[in-house]
Amino acid sequence: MNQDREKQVKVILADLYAIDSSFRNYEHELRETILKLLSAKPDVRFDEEFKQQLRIELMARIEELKAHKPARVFRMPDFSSIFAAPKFAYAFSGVMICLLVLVPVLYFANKAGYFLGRPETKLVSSVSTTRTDDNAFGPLSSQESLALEGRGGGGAPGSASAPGMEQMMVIGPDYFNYRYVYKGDELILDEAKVEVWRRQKGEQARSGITNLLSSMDFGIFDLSTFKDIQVQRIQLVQDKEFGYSISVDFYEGTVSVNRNYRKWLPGIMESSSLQISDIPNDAQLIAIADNFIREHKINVANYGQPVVNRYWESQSQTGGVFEETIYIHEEVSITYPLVINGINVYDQGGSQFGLTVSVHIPEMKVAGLYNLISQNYETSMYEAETDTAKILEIAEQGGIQGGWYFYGDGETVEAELGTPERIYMRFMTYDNFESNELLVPALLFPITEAPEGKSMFRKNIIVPLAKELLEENNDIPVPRPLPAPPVSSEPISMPEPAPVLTPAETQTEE
Amino acid sequence: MEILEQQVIRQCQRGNLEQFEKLYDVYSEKIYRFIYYKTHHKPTAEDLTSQTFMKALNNIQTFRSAKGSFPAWIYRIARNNVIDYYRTKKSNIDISDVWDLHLDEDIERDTANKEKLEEVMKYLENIDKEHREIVIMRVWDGLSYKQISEIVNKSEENCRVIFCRSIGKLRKEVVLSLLIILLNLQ
Repeated sequence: MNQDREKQVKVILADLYAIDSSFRNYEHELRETILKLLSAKPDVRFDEEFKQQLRIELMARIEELKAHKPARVFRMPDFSSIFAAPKFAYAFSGVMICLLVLVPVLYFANKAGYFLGRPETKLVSSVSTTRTDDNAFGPLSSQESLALEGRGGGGAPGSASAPGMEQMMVIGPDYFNYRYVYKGDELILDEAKVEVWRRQKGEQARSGITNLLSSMDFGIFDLSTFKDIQVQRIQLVQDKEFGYSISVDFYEGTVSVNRNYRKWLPGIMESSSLQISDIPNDAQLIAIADNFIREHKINVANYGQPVVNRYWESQSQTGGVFEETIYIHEEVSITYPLVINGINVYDQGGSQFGLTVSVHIPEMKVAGLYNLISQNYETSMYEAETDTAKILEIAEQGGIQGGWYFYGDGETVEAELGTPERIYMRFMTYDNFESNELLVPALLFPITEAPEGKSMFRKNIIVPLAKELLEENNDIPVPRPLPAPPVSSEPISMPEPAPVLTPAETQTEE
Repeated sequence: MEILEQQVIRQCQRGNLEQFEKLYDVYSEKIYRFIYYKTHHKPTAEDLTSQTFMKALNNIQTFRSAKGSFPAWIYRIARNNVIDYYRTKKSNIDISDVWDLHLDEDIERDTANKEKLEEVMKYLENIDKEHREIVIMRVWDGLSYKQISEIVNKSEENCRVIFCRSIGKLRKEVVLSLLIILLNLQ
C-alpha cells in the first residue's frame, strides 16, 4: 500500500477512535473497509483543455459584467447529448454530412493555394502550465544570470541640463550609504519548496504561416526549395503617417510595436526638451494607452491595472531650480503589470514587469508597445529558504545584489522596510545562447520610510525564496564605485568647449 | 491562505472581478472532482462545474464571510447544481445524485469507472443518502468535518458522529460479505 493511502487510513482511523474508542477492537476490519472505499474512488483526470476553455469563458463573462455588454464566446457543444435527443438527430446528421464533404475539400483547396484563409497561428494569451520534475530548470544561480535589471540605490544621478542653455550646469550627484531596517510584522516561512515558473518558447503554432510562405516563389529565389523551414520572426510595417512597425517573434513568443520612424514627422525624431509641466496627468496618459489596446484588441487578461512610470519624481529634489534641469524624455511609459495566479511579477531591481506602452508626449500618441508575451509555462519545485533571519538579513542589506555603497565620507542614512508581500521575481538564466525566463517566488519588502530630504530610486527590496539563489549569490562581489567626494549641492560650471580648428589652422609649418 | 482568499473575495466584490481567476485556480479541480464523484460522467461533471463557477462569479457580491467560508459556499453551489440536474432528469423520483439510482438505470455514466463503483455501490446503497454523502466527502474529497458541516448544514459534531456510525455500519457489511464469500468457498 502506498504511503499516501496509508496516511489517509491512519487519519480516518484516528477520527473514529476519537469518537468511539471501542472501534480499536475492530481495527483490522475498519482498515479493510476504509481501503475498500479508497480503492473504489474513481480515477478522475481534470481535463486541462476544459479548464482553459472554462477560464476563457469566465474571463469573457467578467468583461461582460464590467462593460454590461454581451461577450461572444464559442464553446464546443457536447455532441453526445445532441445524439441522445431524437428531435435534433436529423438536423445534426445533415450538418455532419455537409461538414464531412466540405472540410476535406476546403482543406485541400487551401493547401493547393486556391484561396488564402486566415492562417491559424496563435500565441498563447491565457496562462497555461505544465508541471515538471523538481529542479528541472537546472541551477538557478550562475554568473550570467546575475545581470541586473533596473538596479538602483540611493543618490541622484547627474542631471543633464536642458539643451539650449548657454552655460552647461551639472548637478553633482549625492552619495549616501543606505541602511535598511525591517519594521514589519513577524515573518513566517513554512514552505519546504517553492514553485518556479519557466516561460516556454519555441512551441508556437507557426505552421499556418509557414505553410503559407513555404510554397512561395519570390522570383529571385524559390523558398519552397528550402526544406523543413520554420518562420521564427516576422516584421510588418504600416506605410502611412504615424504608422507602426510590428515585430512578432514566434520562437520567443513576443510581440512588439514600434514607430515606423519613416512615417513619423521628421521633427519628432530629435530629442525635445520637455518640462515636468508638459507631462499630462496619469488619467490622460492611461486613456491613450487603453485606447490603443482596445483598438488593436490586445489581450490584457493577464495584466493588472496600468501604472505610469513617473521616473522624474525620484530625480527631483526639493527646490524648484533642480526640477527645471531634470531631463524629461519625449516618451513616457505605462506598465500593465503581469499577474500570474493573482501574484504580481517584478524584475530584480524592484520595478513591476509587464506590458509596457510608451506614449509620445508631443504627439500624444502611442509610440510603442513591448513585453506582450505568450503565457505558456512549465513549473518545477525548488528548495525554499525557511530561515526568516537569513531572509531579513538579505533584505536589510538591500537584496541579493546589495545596493550602491559608498565609502569614505559618504553619509549613512536609514530607510525602513515594511511587511513583505508575496511576488514573482522575473529572472533570466542563460544556457548555450538560449535565454530562460524564470519567475521565482519572492518577497517584496516595501520601503515605508525613506530618509528625509534624500531621494531614493528604490521603492522596495526583493528577496527570492529559492534557497539556491540566496546561498550562492551573496558571495559574489558587488562592484563598488570609487570613493566619492563629499556632497556638494552647488552647481558646477563646465568649461567652454575647445574651438574646432579649420584644416588650415591645423597645418603646421614644416 | 485564508486571509489572502478573503482579500481576493473583497477585491471581487469591489468590482475587481479579474481576481476571481485566483479562486478558479484554487477550486476548479476540487469542484470538478466533487461533482464527478456525484455524477460518474465526465461531460456532465464538466457542464455542472461550468455552471458552478458561473453562478459563483455572478453572485460573488452576495457572499458573506460571516455566514460561512468560501469553500463551503462554492461546494454548496456545486451540490445544488447536481441535485437540480438529477431532479430535472428524473422528476418523478427524489434523487440527489447518481448514487440514488441503480446501476442499470438509464442515465449516462463513464464505463471506465463502472466496475470500481459497482463494488462499492452494494455497500453504500444500504446507508442513508445523507450519511453516504458525508462518507464520500470525507474519504474521497478529503474535506474536513467543519467544511462538510457547512455544506450539508449540520453541526460539525453531528457530521463526525454520522461518519463514525456509517463506517461502523459499512464495516459490518464488509465482514458479512466476506463471510458469505468464505461460506460459498467451503
